[in-house]
Amino acid sequence: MSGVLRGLAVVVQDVELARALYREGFYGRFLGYDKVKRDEVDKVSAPLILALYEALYLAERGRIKVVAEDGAEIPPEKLAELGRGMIRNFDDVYKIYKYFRDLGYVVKSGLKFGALFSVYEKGPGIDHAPMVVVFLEPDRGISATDITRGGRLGHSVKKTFTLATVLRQTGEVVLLGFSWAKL
Amino acid sequence: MSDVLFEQVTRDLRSKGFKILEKLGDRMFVAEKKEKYLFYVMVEGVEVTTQTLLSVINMGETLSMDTVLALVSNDGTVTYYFVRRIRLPRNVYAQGV
Repeated sequence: MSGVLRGLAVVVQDVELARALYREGFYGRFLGYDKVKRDEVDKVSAPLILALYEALYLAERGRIKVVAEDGAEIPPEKLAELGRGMIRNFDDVYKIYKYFRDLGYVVKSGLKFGALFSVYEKGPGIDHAPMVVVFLEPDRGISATDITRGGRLGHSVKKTFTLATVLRQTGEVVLLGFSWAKL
Repeated sequence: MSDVLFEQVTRDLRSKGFKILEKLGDRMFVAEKKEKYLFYVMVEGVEVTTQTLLSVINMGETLSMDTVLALVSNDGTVTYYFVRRIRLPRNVYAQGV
């Protein structure tokens, strides 16, 4: 039931565990594959790579045990600490990840969209358009440019995107939905 | 109000057939064409806090109007975006763990 921390990602070698995690909520990505469908999972025999926030989420839920390459267990707090040291705004980003995951959404990297996350109801390769989620640093305000930039991300004609931030006062995750208005 | 960038917004809306109904503050007003909308003007380069934006959205919710952000470039070109607070429901498609 374990994954090995290597750098900023966790590798799950156990094929059965890898398949189970992927099936459960499209956690991770099979090395060498992209957008594997749920019913194709049993045909894939490749290690699963979990992003740090995915591994942390699964570790906190007792779903996986993360170990170092020498086999020593790495508790969730240590994973969070590692993230904090290496990734800007890690705690806020993780909070947003957790917010979507706890509500049952599939959260994947947003890099190829130029965003923080792409969020799916059913999963990558199934949903036609993910919710493109842009991170807004809590201590910064919002500018007009943030909004038009977001509008350029999705390739949907409606130019819809979501800004996610964490309110400093309450720690609450706030989602703002924007869409271009042809008035 | 003698702010020329702000004026560009009301001018543009009038040219689109909107009627400006009520000013609700420096950058906020209600305008109507078929339906009423709450407008909030954001000028390129001028940041507003998340809190401010949320209070504008709340105002729109209170008035039961869609909130529109009028984004004005520093030389007066206007682009409009709807904004709303998203309160996500639990995903009905979530796979049981």
